[in-house]
Amino acid sequence: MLKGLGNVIAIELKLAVRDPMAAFFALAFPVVILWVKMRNGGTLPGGLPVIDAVVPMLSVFVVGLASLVVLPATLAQYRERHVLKRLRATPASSTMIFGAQWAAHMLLAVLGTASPLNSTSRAPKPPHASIMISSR
Amino acid sequence: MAVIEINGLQKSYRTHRALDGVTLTVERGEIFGILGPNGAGKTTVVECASGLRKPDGGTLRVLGMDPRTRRRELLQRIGAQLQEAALPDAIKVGEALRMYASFYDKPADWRALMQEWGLAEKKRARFAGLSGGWKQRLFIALALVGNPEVVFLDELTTGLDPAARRLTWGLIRDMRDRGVTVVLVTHFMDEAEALCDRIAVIDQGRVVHEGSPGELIDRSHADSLEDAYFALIERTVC
Repeated sequence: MLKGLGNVIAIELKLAVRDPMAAFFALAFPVVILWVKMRNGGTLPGGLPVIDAVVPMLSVFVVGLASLVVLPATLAQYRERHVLKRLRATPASSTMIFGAQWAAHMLLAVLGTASPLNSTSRAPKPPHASIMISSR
Repeated sequence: MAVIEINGLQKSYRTHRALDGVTLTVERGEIFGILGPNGAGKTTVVECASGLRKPDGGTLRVLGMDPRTRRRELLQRIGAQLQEAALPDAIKVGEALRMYASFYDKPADWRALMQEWGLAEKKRARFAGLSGGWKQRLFIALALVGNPEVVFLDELTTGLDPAARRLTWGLIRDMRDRGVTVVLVTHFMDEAEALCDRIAVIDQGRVVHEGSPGELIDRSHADSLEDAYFALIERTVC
């Protein structure tokens, strides 16, 4: 049973990443927004580093997108196109299938949250932003 | 030995009576055809037998088990290709087979199955990009991936070109020759005549004939199964 679960999670995560809309908004969009926000320097007028203001916002965006948009849309499409019906004719339990769906989309959210952090810690500019990350 | 025993099966959808006492028996190792007009209840019989729907009345035994009470156990030993069923667009052929294999206690080797059914060249192809013939081939392989004793095929060849249909017939015979019992729902008389050891004709939720295609032709004094079929259906409509 666990072997089946791991399999389904891995395949569902791949499917989510292959969907151009989901992949763009979950993985690429946060990096683009972060780059746009940090173009004009690394601190806000009040002295707060831009990255401290933007990263939490983007994380909430990505988690919300994965759990409130991509996951329900995927399940609705599976039901409408009889993907779930075919699965019901196998011994796979629906709890396992939905659990795997949930886990795969949470992993998508983790990847989406990690992508802007990863890109800022590697990006050469703006210089002070990367210093702040590494100083923590 | 009977693999499927259905006795007086009843099923209604709201006010519509889909099955009105269906009785039929499928023997081990045969290709059993289910024929009948649209809306006659063919798919409902298959869906009840494969545990997808709960019948309202009558008795139903598949491999000696009642799908209502031993559904999970039964699903380990049967395979199904359903009408209108689909896979996610972006899933690849190899991924689908591996995933479905992981659902069963004693699955077939999905890589060997992929080779046998000629799907190896499409291993990395996405489901949405497959032609109708390749999709059906994948559905057959998915129906067989759990090493089933009984396979239900619901309108397997509908929408295929003539060459792909003939090819599929060969695949179904291969299945039977390996000892799998096949239940085949079809609209094509030539298909039933070429493949089926026995058939049941269902009309308005009842079995109006059960026997070999030859018996039906003899009984109606017709020249072909198609003529015999129309004689039978017309009589029951009147």
